[in-house]
Amino acid sequence: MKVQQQPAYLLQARPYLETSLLIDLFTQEHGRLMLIAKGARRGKARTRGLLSPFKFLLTSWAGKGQLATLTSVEQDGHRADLNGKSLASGYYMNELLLRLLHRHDAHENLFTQYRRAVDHLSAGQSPRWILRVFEKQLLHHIGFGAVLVRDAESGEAIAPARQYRYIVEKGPVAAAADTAAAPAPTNPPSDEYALTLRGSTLCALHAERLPAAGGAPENELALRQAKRLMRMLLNRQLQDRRLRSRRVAMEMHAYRTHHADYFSTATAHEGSPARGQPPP
Amino acid sequence: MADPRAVEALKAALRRLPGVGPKSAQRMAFHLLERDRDGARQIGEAIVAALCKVNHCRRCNNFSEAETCAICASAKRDAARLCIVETPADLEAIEQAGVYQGMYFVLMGHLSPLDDIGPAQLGIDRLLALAKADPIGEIILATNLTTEGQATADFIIDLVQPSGILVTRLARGMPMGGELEYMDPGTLNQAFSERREVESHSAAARADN
Repeated sequence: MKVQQQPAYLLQARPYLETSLLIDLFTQEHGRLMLIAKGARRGKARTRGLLSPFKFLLTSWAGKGQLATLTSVEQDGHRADLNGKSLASGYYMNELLLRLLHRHDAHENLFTQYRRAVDHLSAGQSPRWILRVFEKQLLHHIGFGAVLVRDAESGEAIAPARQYRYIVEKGPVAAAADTAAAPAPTNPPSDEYALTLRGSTLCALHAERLPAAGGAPENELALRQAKRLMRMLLNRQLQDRRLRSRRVAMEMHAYRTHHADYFSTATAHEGSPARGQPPP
Repeated sequence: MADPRAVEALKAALRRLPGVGPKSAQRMAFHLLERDRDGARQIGEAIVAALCKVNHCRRCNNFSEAETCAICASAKRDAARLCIVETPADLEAIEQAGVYQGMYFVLMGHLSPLDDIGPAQLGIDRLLALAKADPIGEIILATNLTTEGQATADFIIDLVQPSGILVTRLARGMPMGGELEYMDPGTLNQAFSERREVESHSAAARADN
C-alpha cells in the first residue's frame, strides 16, 4: 500500500534500532497508525526536526502488513510551537488518543477536532475548555459519547437551571426538586459512577460553548463540572489505568507551587556576588 | 533450548543493550565464546569495575569515579556559569566544542509525560539547591531543541526565574553550511525572529581585544 501526502500529527516517537524511529501517527484518513522512519535519527536527516508532536505534517508511506515505512514528511504551514503549560495539555491529548483509538480506524472528524485544539492551544488560549470539548468529541467518536440533550429517564430536554445526577452508562437524570432550589454546591457528592451537575453544564458541553459571554462565576462552574464529568466518563474507558501525562503534569504543578518562594526564603547565598549580570 | 544454560543467560543479558535483538545477541555470544574469550573476560571485568566505581557526581550529577567530578573540582572553571544539559553525551559535545569554560548540571534525561518521567526523576531538587547555594550569575539552558527538551527548559525557567539569576538559552537558527532553500520552515522562522544586529567591524575588533 502506498499513501501520499496524508495530513497527520505525530503522537509519539521512540528510538528503533541504531538510527531509526518508530512513530505513532494520527492521520486524517487512516486513523492512528505506526510507521518506521528509517534513518530519522541520523545527524543530517532532514526529517529529524519535523518528526515531533503538534506539527501539522504531510506524510507519505509505503509497505505491506502492520508496519509500513515512512517515505517522506513535510510540514504544512507554520504555527507557533506549544510551550509550557499548553505543552502539557498537548501531551495529555496525545496520550488519550494513544490509549483510546484502535489502529487503522479512521476518524476524520476527530482529526479536525484535534487539529483545532492544537491550533487554539498554540494561539495561547486557555486549555481548560479546549480540552473538555476535545474529550467530549473523542468519547463521541469512539462510541461512548456523553448524553447531553435529554434526561435519560423522562426523555425531557435538559433544563439549564435544573440539577441533574449524571450516572455512568445511563446519562443525566433530573435530581429531586428540592435540590434544584438549593444554591448550586461547588462540590456536590459524587463517586466513581455518578455525579451531580447543573443542566447548564450539559448544555454548554453540547453546544461546545461556555454558558455566559462574560459571566465568570457561571463559566467557572461549568468548567469545573465539565471537567469532573469528562474525567468520570474517560476513566471508565481507560479502565482506571492511570494516565502518565496527568501524573507528570500534577508532579510539575506540585513543584511549581512548592518551590514558588524557594529563593525568597534563602539565607544560603548571603554574601554571594550580585546576580543578574548580563554576559560580557 | 539447544544451548547450555549459561549461553542462554549470556544471550538474554546481551539483549538488554539498546538495539540488540535475539539474532544479534546470539551472534555476539557465539563470537565471544568461540573467537574472543579474552575480550569476553575484558568486557565482563570492565562492566563490573564500572558498576562498582562509577557513580553520579555530587554536584553536577554527571558520571564520576570520585565524589566530585573533574570539571566540578577544577579551579580553572568559571563557577559563576551553570550550563544545564540533558545527557553526559551533550556535555561531552560542548566540551569538545571548547568554547564554554563554566560548570554543568546533567539532568540525565528530559521531561517526558508519555513515558512517565517527571521532575522528580531529573534531580530538579538538586539543581535548585545548587542554584541557591552557589554564587551563580548565569544559568545557560542547553537542552535539546526537541519538544521534550523545550518542555524541560520551560519548566526549569519557571522554577529558577524567582531567584533573579540571569537565565539564557542557546541560540537557534541556521546551522553551519546551511542553505536557505533546504531549510525547514520552523528553523527559518526561528532564524528570522532571532536575527541580530550586525556589529560594526571596529566594535567587533574591540571586543576581540
